[in-house]
Amino acid sequence: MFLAALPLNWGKAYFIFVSFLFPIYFIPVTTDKATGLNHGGIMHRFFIRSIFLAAFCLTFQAQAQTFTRKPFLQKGAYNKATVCWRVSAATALTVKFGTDSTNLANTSAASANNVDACVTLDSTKLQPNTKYFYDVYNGATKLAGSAKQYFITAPVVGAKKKSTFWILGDPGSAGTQQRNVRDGFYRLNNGAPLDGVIMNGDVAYESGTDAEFTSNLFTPFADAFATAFTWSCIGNHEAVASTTGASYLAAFNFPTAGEIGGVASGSELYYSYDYANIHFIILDSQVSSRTKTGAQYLWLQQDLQATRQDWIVAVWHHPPYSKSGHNSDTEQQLIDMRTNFLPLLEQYAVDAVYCGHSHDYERTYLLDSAYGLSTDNQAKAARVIMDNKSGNPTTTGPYRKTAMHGTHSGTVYALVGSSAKLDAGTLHPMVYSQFVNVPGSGILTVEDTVLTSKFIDSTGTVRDQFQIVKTRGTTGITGRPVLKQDAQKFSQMGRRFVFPTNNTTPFRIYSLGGNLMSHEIPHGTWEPSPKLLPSGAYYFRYGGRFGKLSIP
Amino acid sequence: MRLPLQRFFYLQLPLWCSLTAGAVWSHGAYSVMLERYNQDIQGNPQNYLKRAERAYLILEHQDTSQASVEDIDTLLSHPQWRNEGVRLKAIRLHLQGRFDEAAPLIQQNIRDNIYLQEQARLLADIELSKKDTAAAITAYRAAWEHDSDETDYIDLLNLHQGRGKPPEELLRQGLNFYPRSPGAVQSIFEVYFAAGDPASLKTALEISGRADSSLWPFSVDWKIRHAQVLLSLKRAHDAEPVLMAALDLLDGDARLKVEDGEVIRKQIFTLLEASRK
Repeated sequence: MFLAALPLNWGKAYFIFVSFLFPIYFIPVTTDKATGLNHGGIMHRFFIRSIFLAAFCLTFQAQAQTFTRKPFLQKGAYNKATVCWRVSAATALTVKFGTDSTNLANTSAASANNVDACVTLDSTKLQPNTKYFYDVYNGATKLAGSAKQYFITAPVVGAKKKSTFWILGDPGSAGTQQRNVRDGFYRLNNGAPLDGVIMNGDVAYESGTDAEFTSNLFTPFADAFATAFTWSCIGNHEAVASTTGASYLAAFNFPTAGEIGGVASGSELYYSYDYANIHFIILDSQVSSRTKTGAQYLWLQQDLQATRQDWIVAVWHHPPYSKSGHNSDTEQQLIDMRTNFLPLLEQYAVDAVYCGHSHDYERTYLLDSAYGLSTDNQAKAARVIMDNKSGNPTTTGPYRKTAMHGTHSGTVYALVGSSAKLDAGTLHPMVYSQFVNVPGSGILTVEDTVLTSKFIDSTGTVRDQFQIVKTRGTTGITGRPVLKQDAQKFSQMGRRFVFPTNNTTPFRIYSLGGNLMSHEIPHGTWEPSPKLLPSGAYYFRYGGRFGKLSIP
Repeated sequence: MRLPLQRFFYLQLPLWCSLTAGAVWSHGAYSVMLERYNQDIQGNPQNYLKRAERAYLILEHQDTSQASVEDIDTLLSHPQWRNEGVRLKAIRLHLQGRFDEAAPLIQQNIRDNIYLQEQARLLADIELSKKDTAAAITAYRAAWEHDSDETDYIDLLNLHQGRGKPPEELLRQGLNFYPRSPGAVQSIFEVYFAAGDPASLKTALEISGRADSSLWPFSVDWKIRHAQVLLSLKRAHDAEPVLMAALDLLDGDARLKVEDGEVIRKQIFTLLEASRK
């Protein structure tokens, strides 16, 4: 163990040697007059040196299980939590967790005997929306991690609980700006528990090497990652050292099998998950195909069709609208995402999108179908900008949507990219609010039918905010269809239809061309107006019955 | 007394300078980025990494001007950077549409395992331009076998469609590799369904049944696909409830555009009519 650990801790060993052991040679020889014993003599020095050497070895042994990446939380759900870490020497560790910080009653299975490891906590021991404290143990010895180590399990899927997420934009460059942004958020948040940290790529500058992940991401954000579940998309800088993002994929543990909600993607580069009443979609605008026939797009289509969540929030790196560090009119990834993915996302009523890449803050109006170049979109502004006000609840009022899942009901695209770097830029015509040379991060809050997004600078001051408020109406999406084969009969006499008075089955009439003309649950006599249903042939659907009918 | 390594302080200075420069580096728009590369390379013409990055940046922006030629030639002249040079040269020739010159170079790159996936896709593109689907299939297969990228697999299967008997081994491999992946499963299904023989239809039915009942129960598309196979197998009685469920799902989903809904409904009505004949 000592030898194995030595190279990893050489700096510390040198420090200990210079600080404690070497000075022993200079302890002067003195004689105790009462006892006549020599203090500092050769035997005495040997004795003291032995103690220090033993301490030296023990130090190494303890250091063999110190964290080089402190514990961080992954894949959080209402009954799931995964704790990951990196230690300085391969060791099988366990996680103790419980609701009482002084009595961690539950113990996980042992991790793999690796330097990098994760353990998934026993779902039968986890309750929704509950705070659990945890520590990592090597046998009976607790490893020193972050000052606070706890997590709060997600609420059950669909719950309308207030949820708060910290949005970090291009945060992977260690230094003063990153530190200031982080501390500005900490001051504003004042220790309140977070429901997640979401990063929109470029988390490890410059090249996404393993060492850069440790120094530029896991170390500076260790405290946040130890108490909030972390999610990310890949940025271009994570695909420099390895074009497939090898270090990025090795660093994180994201859902691929739909285990946190959503459709299984089979890839950690793009995936989805549910949190309370929000469906989060993480896309890859760098490594995976961005075509409409690619695996990512086909997965997204199924994922969007399947979700019934009140809110949909998507995250990827390359922004569809930017005129600062990057130009969304000329750069391929940005164009691909705008022209290929936005139509699908807007069809399925995605509410908010977070991107990065440019190192500033650029937030659009409530938009729909702005898929062209900036000049085209500007020319069509009256059509593509659905609300040309700020969306700020404290000034011009929030953006409003009249249905929970209305197709093409408007999306706000927020570029939050200044958490560690800055770019200059000009205003894109689709952007309502822009802050250049202002380091900052974002806060997303969702509570029932209200979504609020803020941009805060490194002093913790809110620089911009928008809100989307939805109305729970009758239009929306139904659950899994259950066929009613036992619908009662109806009869038709001319334009008049007669249904049982206790009817509960919808009666739907379609044009032969496929348009849904009428959708009612009629009781007794029902006579559609000629305006609604002019004379002609139609299809009808009533419970398990389907056929043609003619209206005179 | 000097601290350890203090005497090397001045030797470390360039390192600190480059780290500082790296910290303030931020990627800008194409012209800005290009200008930065130009300055770097002007300062050090022997910076091969920057040359490789600059050439790729230029080609990535579909720029076929002479700008990348100098970098490519420089890279080709250095034994350690030659691979980057031949890779970029192949991309440039492909971009210029000089397929006859590009093809042998790309084939050599594939043999030498230089950016195999990327080069194989370039070759497939060239073969498709010559309408040589079989050669394009071979190229895509090489790309897929190298990286197991799902999109390569989907492109590969799309090329197999309508080419007679399905490539059974490849399809089985795909089902093992991507058992729950919407793109791959859909492509595999389509190859079996398009083949049309009883054995292939039976497999297509297994796939669509699993997709409809357990993998993606909210998918209107999969319900329609499942019904189509049932009808092809003359199981109209089983197809009708599936189509009815598709109709329910469609009518209950406000997220579909009216015109999209109409097209899909019309397709369902056609299939329902067919099931009653």
